[in-house]
Amino acid sequence: MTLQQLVNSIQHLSGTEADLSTLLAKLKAQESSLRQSQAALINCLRALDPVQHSLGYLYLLDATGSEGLPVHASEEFIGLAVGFLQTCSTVQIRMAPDKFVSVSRKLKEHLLVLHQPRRAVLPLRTALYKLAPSSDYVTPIHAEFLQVCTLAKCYNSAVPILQADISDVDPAKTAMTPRDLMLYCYYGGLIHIGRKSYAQALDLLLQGLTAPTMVVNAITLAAYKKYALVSLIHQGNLPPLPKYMPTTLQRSLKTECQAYQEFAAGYGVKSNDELQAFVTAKQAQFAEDGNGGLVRLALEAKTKRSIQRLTQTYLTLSLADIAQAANLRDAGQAELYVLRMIDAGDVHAQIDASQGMVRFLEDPEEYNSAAVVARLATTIDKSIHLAQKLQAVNNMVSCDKAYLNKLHVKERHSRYEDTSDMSDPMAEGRLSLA
Amino acid sequence: MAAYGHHGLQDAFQTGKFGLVAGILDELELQSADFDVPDNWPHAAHMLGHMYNGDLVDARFVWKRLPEAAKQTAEVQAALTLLQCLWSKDYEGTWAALSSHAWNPPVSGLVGGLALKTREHIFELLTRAYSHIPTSKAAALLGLPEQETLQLVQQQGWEHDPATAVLKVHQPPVRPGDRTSLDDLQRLTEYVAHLEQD
Repeated sequence: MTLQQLVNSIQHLSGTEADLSTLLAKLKAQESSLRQSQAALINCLRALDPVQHSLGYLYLLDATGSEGLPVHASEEFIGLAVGFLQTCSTVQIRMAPDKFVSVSRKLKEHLLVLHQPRRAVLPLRTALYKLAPSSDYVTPIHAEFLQVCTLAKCYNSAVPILQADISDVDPAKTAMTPRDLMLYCYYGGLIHIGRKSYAQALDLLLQGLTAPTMVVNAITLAAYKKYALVSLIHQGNLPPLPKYMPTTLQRSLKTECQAYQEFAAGYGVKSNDELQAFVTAKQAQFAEDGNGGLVRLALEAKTKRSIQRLTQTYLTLSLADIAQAANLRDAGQAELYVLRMIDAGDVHAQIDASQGMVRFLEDPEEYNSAAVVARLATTIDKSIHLAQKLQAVNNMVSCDKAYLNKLHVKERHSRYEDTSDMSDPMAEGRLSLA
Repeated sequence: MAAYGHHGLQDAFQTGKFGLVAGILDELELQSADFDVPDNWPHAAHMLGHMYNGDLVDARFVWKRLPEAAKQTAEVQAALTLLQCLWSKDYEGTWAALSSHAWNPPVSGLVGGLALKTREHIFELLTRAYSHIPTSKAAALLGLPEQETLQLVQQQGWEHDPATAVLKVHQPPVRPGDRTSLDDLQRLTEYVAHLEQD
């Protein structure tokens, strides 16, 4: 089939669903020959309409972008891809999700060669919305989009995407791979860390860490390092990881992330000077991982914790005593420190400046306001929604043929084991009946 | 400046809806290449817009992605000093930073709005954090002369002791919880219905 014939087919077979399926089969058959005629493809694309002939346009466009990292960025490809992602038909591109992801990825690569990641933010956001069947789904473009946001330092552009609760993965509809999910969790974690939303960051990083895997990979290790440091900053310790962590990972963390585990172990017990000495000794390693800033924040958070600990012991305390307990210069500095902590909501207290005393208070929130009720209601609604989804998944699995077969084999197997150690001569006979 | 031509942005500045400025500029930035041209983009207003919304992290990222040439302009430098004060909760420094630069319109309106918000926030903080505070200290933290500070806090019921020059902070009464409405009952029925299902 010549290129011209293919263009003709695309023009004629972009109407009904049946036509599109025929077209898709043709395009798949032509894939390798398309890549060999790259130069001519640009002209063919001019003859097509990105909106009406989205499926064909997608295949040709993907073939024009070179494989792997481009050495020189092509402004022509960038222009065509940006226009296509913004206008293409959602129905048609969902027929070839892998190609759509590939074009999005190539656009990103080209713009990274130019050091202009910001130009990719908007097209990738549109692409992501077009590919995802609903906001419950995560797609490979999620990770690409989040990466571009960090590189362009447009962290807040990523917030609406991260706020959607992801609960569905569908490789058939979105060409999703395990690597894409881990990268989504990692870059999402980075965005939350950058915006100081530590609780959300921990949540996402932990999701990445606990994703089932047989092999240890660099993404997980990098995620663990961030997770350890953010835990120290946010809650003052590194809690043990959940039992459902992949076992291969648990073993290798000890050898690969030793410095981080030692830092976390010493964080609560060592004095500030000892910790500082430890950090100085491992400085090079922390810096190499790009975690120097987080280590510094973890050290700074210690002063805050020592004041918070005082509130558990004392009802009232003089500013001078606080200064001494928290290694601060004098009462004046302690007053400013406590004021800032009250501002940030880290502590509840009242300063009597004329007496130089601080009175620590209970959390004034009595959980009886309309705002609390509203917050509670949204949380419950979310839980109900999630429970329904879980029930649906459960139902689906219990009707799944592969699952039932496996279960059946297992059952037979265990019955065989149960009876094997019996001396009953009839056991064999009963088994064959089962 | 090209971005000021945007209809929504003009509107936000004129009607004092400063909370919209940062969002509009963020979207515009993604659509055009003007952000990288120092004279084409209101960089200081972009940073200040985020500060006005209390999103200091986002203001910091705007600073980080500014083109080098734009970082050197006086207005952006003034905005940066202000951001550093707000970031480190240097309350007294904030007032110095707000008044140290002669802001040009329309940014001056935005800065005025930011000052008002900041003063409101600090007043609320002082009410929460202090039982007694020297008048001079309250004045410094609120960025006002002592006489005006006295006027402001006495309106709110604080007591002034002229002998020691100390203010006794008046704590507003705790607001009682709002009554449950019919909606809440409706919601409760739904929860029970859901629990019964399983």
